[in-house]
Amino acid sequence: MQRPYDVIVIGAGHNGLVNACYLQRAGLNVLVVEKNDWIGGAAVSRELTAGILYSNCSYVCSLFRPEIMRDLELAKHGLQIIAYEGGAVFKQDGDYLASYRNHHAHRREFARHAPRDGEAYERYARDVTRQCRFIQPLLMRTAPDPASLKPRDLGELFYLMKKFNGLTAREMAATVRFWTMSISDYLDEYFEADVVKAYLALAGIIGTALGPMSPGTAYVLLHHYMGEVDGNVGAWGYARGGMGAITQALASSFRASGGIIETGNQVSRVLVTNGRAKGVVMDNGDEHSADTVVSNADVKRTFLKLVEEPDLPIDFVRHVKNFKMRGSSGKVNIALDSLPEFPALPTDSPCIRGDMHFTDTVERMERGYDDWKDGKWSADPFLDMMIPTTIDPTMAPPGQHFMSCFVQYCPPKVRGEDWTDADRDAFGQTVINQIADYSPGFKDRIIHMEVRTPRELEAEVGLTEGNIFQGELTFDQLLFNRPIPGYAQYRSPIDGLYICGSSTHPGGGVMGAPGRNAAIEIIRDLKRSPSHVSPAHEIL
Amino acid sequence: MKSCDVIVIGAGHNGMTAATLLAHSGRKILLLEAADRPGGMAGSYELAPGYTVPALAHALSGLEASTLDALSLDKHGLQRGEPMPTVGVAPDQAPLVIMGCYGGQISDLSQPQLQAWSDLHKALSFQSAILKRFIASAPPQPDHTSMRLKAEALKAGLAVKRAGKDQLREFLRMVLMPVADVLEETDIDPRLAGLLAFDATLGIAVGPRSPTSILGLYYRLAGQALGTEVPVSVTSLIHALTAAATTAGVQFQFGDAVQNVIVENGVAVGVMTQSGKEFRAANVLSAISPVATFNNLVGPRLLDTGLARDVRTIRTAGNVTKINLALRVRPDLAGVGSQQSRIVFAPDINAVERAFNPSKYGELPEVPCFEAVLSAVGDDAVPDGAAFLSISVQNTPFHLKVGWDQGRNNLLQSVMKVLERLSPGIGKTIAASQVLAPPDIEDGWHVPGGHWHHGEWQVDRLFFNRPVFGAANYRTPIDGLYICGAGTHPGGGVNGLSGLNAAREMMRAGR
Amino acid sequence: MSGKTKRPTQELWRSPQWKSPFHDQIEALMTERRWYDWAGYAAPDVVEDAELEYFAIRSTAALFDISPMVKYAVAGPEAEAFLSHLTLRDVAKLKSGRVQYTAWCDDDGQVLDDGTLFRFNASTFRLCCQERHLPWLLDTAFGYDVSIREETDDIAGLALQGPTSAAILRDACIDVSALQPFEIMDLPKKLNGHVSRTGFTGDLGYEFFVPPGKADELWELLWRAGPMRGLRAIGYHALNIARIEAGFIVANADFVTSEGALRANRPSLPDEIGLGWMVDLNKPHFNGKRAIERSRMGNGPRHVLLGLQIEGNEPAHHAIVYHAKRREAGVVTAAIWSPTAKSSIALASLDARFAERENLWVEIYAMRELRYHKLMKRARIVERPFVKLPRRTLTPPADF
Repeated sequence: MQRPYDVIVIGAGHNGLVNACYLQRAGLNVLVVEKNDWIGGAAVSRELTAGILYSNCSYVCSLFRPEIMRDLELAKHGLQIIAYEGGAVFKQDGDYLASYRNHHAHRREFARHAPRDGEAYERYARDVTRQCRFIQPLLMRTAPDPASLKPRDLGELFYLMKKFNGLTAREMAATVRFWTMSISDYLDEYFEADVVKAYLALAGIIGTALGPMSPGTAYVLLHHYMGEVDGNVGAWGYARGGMGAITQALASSFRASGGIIETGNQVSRVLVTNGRAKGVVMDNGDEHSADTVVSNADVKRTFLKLVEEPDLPIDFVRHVKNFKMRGSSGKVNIALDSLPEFPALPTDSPCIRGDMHFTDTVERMERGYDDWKDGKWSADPFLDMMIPTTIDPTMAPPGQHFMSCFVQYCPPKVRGEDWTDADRDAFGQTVINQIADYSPGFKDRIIHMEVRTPRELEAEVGLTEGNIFQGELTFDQLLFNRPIPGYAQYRSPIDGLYICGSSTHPGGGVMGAPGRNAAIEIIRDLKRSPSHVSPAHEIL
Repeated sequence: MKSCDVIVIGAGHNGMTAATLLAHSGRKILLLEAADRPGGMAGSYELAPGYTVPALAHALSGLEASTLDALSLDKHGLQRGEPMPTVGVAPDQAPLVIMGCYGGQISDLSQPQLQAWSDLHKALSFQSAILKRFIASAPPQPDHTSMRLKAEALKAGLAVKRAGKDQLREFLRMVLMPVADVLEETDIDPRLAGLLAFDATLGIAVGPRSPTSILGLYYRLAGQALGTEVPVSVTSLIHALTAAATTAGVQFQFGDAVQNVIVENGVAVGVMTQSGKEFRAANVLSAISPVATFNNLVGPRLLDTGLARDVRTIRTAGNVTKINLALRVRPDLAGVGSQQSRIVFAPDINAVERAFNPSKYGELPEVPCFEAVLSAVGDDAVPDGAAFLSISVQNTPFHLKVGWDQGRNNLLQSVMKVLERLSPGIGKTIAASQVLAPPDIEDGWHVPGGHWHHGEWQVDRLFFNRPVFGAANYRTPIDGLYICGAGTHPGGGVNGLSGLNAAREMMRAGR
Repeated sequence: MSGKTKRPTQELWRSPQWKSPFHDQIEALMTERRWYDWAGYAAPDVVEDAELEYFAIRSTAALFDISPMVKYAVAGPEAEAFLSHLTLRDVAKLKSGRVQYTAWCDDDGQVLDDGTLFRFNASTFRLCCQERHLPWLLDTAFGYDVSIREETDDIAGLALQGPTSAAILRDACIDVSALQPFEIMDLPKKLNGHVSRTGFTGDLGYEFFVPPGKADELWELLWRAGPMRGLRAIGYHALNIARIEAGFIVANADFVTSEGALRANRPSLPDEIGLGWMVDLNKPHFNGKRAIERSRMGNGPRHVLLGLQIEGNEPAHHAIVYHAKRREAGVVTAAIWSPTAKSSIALASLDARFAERENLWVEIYAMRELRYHKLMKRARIVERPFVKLPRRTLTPPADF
C-alpha cells in the first residue's frame, strides 16, 4: 500500500487533468494515473520524427473554455490559443471557395459562387449564433435529471424551461427545427451553391457517425460552433505548441498546486468494496487507495473493463453496452520538408494557413458515410486538413511543416474484421492521393507520416472504437441522456466512482467542461467549497 | 352572396371527415372535388377490365374508433374487418407471419425472440401512447401566452412519471433515435427487424439508421397502443365517409378543381373553380396539400415573404412509387393465406438502409424494398381466380437523375426480379400493370411532389412546425381560410385526424 | 478529376476594403487619413476638418460620396406590384421620375431596413439602403415577373448638399431649377446618369448616380464649379451632425434591423421608430401588414422614437433617459450639439408609456481629464426636424 490519496483520477487527458486541477485546488490530495509514458490523452504534441511536433489526435481548439483557462491560470503555465485564418474548399473544376476573416471579403467570395449566398450568409450566421447563445450556457452546468424531484434537478429544469420561455414563439419553433434537422436540409434553406453548402456542412459531421443528410447533424454543427459566439460564429484556433500545450499547461498547473501524476502505468481495475470505490489496482500490481476515483476513460472502458460487472446493476450495464461510440474518423499526420503548393489558390492566399477541404458537394460527403455504413473507408475521403506550422513557429524547424489531416469517414472495423496494417496503409494512401490530386509534388515533400485508424486511436489513447467524442452526439446521448439516463451527473452506480470524460455532458471536443462540471459534483459530494470554480461567463 | 357556411376543398378522407363534422353542427357545407369521385389518395380505379385496384392507399393504420363514432360511420355501411396479416418475405428464408396488428401473433419465432419482441413492443406502445396525446387534437403552439403547450407537456410528463422514472428516462432517450439502433439493442429476429425498419421509414425520406426514424414506428403504433384502432378496408371507409357526408347534408361538387381562393381585404370569402364558377362562403377549409393551397390557391402575393419562403422549404419530394399489377392468377406466396394480405419485402435492416442510400442522390435502389397488398381469394374487385397486387415501393425519389420515363421501367424490372424469386412465373400472369411514380402522383392528385404526407413527415415539420410555423393550428394568416389534410398536424395516413381536429378548431372559433 | 486550370479570381483578402469610384479624388484632398468602413468600402470620416465640413453643408456646399450605399436594380412588368408587396408605402402612387423614402418589414411587422426607392419609368426602379437584402428581395419576388440585381459596385453615387448647390450646378451647366424635392432628372448624355433632389442633410441638395467610369468626370465637373461657391468634400462626421439636425434615422444605429438582430426583442415595428406614417393599409397586401394591424388593434407600440432637446451643451451620447430622475424611460440613440439650433439635441427610443410625459431627464457621463462628470439634465420632447430649412424644398431653389 502506498500513501493514501483523497482522489485518484484515471487518465491524464485534458478532462482528467481539468478535473484533477479543480479537485486539488479544493484542498484534496489528488493522484492522476496515466497508462502512457506521456500525458495528454487525445490532446498531445508528440515528436514522432526529429524536430517536428505532431498534434496527432485533436488538432484545433475553440471549445476550450476561457473560464477554465483563467481559473487554472493556464496562461501562466504557458498556454496560448491563437486564432487562425480562414480556409478553402477545393472544387473539382479547379476553382475554390475561400473563407476569409474579413466580413466583406467573405461575403464577396461566397457571392462569387452564388450572388444570393453572399448575402444569405448574414441571416444564416445570425440564426446559428442565436442557437449558440441559447445552448452555450448549458455547457457549464450539470444536466438536470428530468425524472428526479430533487430541488437541484427541479431548479435546473426550471432554468432550462425559463431559457426556452425566453425565446419568442418563432424562435422556439426554429429551435426545435434546428435541433432535429440534417445539416444538409438546413443549409438548403439558406444557400444555393453546392460548394458553399459543402464548406458549411463540415461542422455537422466532424467526429460523428452520421452523414450530412442525417437528421440531428445541424445540432452537431452547433457543437463545433459554440466556441466563440457573438459575431464570431465558429471561430477556431490552434494551441501554440500543438494541442499538447493544453495538457502540458494543465499538468503544470496541477503539479504547481501539489498534484502528482504517475505515467506509464495502467489501471487494471477499480477497487470496489460493498458498492464503494476504494482505489485502483495497477497493471504492475500496485494499489492506490482513495475514497474517490474519477475516470477520464470513456464510459465503456470505465464500466466494462475497469469495473467488475457484478458490481453494477444489470440495466446499467445493458445501457453501457448500448451506448453508441462508433468510430467514424481517422487521422493522417504528415511531416513535410517544405510547404505544399495548391495551384488552385492564388499566390500568397491566406487559405493555406486555415483549414482546407477537398470535398465540394454534400453528396460526396454523404457517399463517404454510405461507405462507412458498409464498413469501408471511402475512396473519396473527406479531409479536414491544416498546416498549423504556417502560424505556429514552435512545432517544426523553419521551412518544415506539420500537416494534420482529419479523415472522415473511417470505420471502426473493415467489413466486420479488425483493421490490419495493410488496411491502414491503404487507407493512408487514399488520403495522400486525395491531397496530391490538388497539390503537385506533394508526395515528394513527405518526410514522415503516421496513419491512425480507429484501431490506433483505441490502442493508444484508449478511445473505444476510436470514437473521438467518447460517444456519439445524437439526441439519445446528449444532456440528461449522456452517457446513461439517470447517470448523467458524473456519478455512477458505485459510490465514490465518477466519470469526467467526453462521454459525459456536454460531450467531446477539447472543451474541458466535462472535467470541470464533474469536479463541481465531486466537490459538492465531499462537502468542500467550489468557490474557486468560476461560473460560466454571462451571455448578454 | 354567400352560398354556404364553409367550402371544403378536396373530398379525400380528411376533407370528408371535416365536412361531415361541420355539417353535423348545422353548418351548410359545400365540398368541392377536382376528380369525378370522392376518395382522393384513398380512392380506387379500374386498372384493367374487371380489375379494380386501390389507387394509392391500400392499407389503413391508425384509424380510431373515436373517429368512426364521431362520424357515425357504422350507421353508414362501414364494414369493420379483421386486421390484414402481414407476411415478411425474402427469398431463401422462411416467411414471417404476423396475424393482427403488431401486437398479435407472430409465427416462426423462438421463445427468446418472442420475448425480446414483446418487451420492445411494450416499450414502443407505451411511448407512442405518450405522443398520441399530442396527435388527437390541434398541435400545441409554442406561445407563452397560451398555457396549452405547458399544460399538455405537464400532463404527459405526469402520466409518464406515474409509470416510473425508468419509463420516463427511456422515453426521453429513445424518442429521437434511429429505429435501427433501437432494434439492434434487442435480440429480435432479423426478419422482424427488417420489417419494422421498413414500416418505420415507409413514406418518409429517412433510412432506419437515420436519427428520428423511430418516430415513424410510433406514428403507426399510436392507434394500436391504446387498442383503439379499428381495422377497416380503404374502400369501405371511403364509401361510408361519402354516405355519412351526404346524410349530414354536405353538398358535393365533382369534376371541377378549385382555381383559387377568393380573398378580399385579407379575408377568404370563397373560391373560384377552373371552369370559372364562383362560390362564396364565410369560411374556406382546404384539405389539399398545404403547399398547393398556399402557392396555387392563395398565391404568394397575399402572403408575407417569411411564410411564403417557409412554405417553399417544405420538402415535398415524394419517395414512394405505387405499382399496381393485375394478375390473371393469384400467386402462391409462402406464408400468405387466402385472405387479403400485406406482404413486405424488407429482409433485414441493412437491406432497408441500402435501398435508402441511392434515393438521397436521385437514384433508384438496386434491390428495392416494398410492401404489397395481395387481394383475397374471391375478392369482388378482380375476376375469379385472379388477383391484384398493389405495391408501394419505398425510396423512389421524385427527382430521378435518369428521369422517370426510364425510371418507371427500371423500377418495375427490379421489383419483378424480386417477385420472380418469391413466386417464380408471376411475371407471365400479369394482365396489366401501372407504375405511379411520385411525379404521376403529383399530376394525378394535385399534390406537389407527389408526397404521401403532402410534405416530409420529419421532426422539423411536426406539431407547431407542420406545415409551417404561423399556419400550424389549421388556421392560416388569411382570415377565414383553414387547412387540413396530410400536410397538417398530425400528418398522413388514412386516419382522418387532421380533418377532425381542424373541424373542431373551426367550431371552437365559432366559424 | 478534370483539369485544374487556374481561374482568374478576385484576390479578395488583399484589399478587403474596396475603393469607391471617388476614392482617389477624396484621398487627394484628405489631410487626416480618417477612413472608416462603410459596408466594405473605405469611406472618409473627416476629409480635412469636421467642423468646417459641417458648415459647408449648412452655409455653402458639400460633396459626400454615397457610392457604398447598397443598391438593387428592380425591373420588370410587375416591379411596381412587387415593390408594393415589399415596402410599406404604395408604390403605385410613386410617379416615374420620383423618389420615395420608404421602409420594409418582415412577417412580424419588424423593420428590415429603410431606404429610398427611385422610379425611373413604369417598370424600372432602384432601391437604396443600408443593409443587404438580396435573399429577402428574391424570396419576395417569388410569383412576380420581376428581376432583381445587386448593383452597388456598378453605380457611383455622389451627394451635393448645401445652399449653394443649385448655383454650383448652374455653373456646371446642369439646370436643376425646375427639379422638385424627390424628383429625378437625367444628367447630360455624356455623364450617362441621373440626378435627384434628395439628400441626408435636411438642406437643399442633390444626389448623382453615374457609371463608375464616369465618376471622375462628374467629380471634375462639380469640383471645377465649386471654388466660387465654397464647395468642400466632406466625411461622415459632418454629415452625421446634419442628419441628426434633420431628424433622419440610420439603420442599426437608431433602430435594430430585424434580420440582423441577435436578440429577438430588439427589432421594431414602423410605429416604434416613427415610420408609422408610411404604412398604407389601403393598398393590396404587403409584408407585415397583418402584424402591424394586430399591434395597432392591440397594445400598440412598445416604444417610440422621439426627438429630445436637452438642457446644457453636453451631447448625450447613448445616455439613459429617466422619468422623474428615477424610472428608466429609454435610451438615446444619437446625440449631438447642434451648431445651427445651438442646443443639445438627441434621438431617443422611449418606452411608449413615457412618450407623452414631461419630467424626462438624461444621465450624461462627461469625461474631462480622466474624471467623469455625472450630469442629470432635463430633456424636453420636441418635434423633428430639429432644424427646419425652407430652402430645402423651395422650387426653384433660391440662390444661397
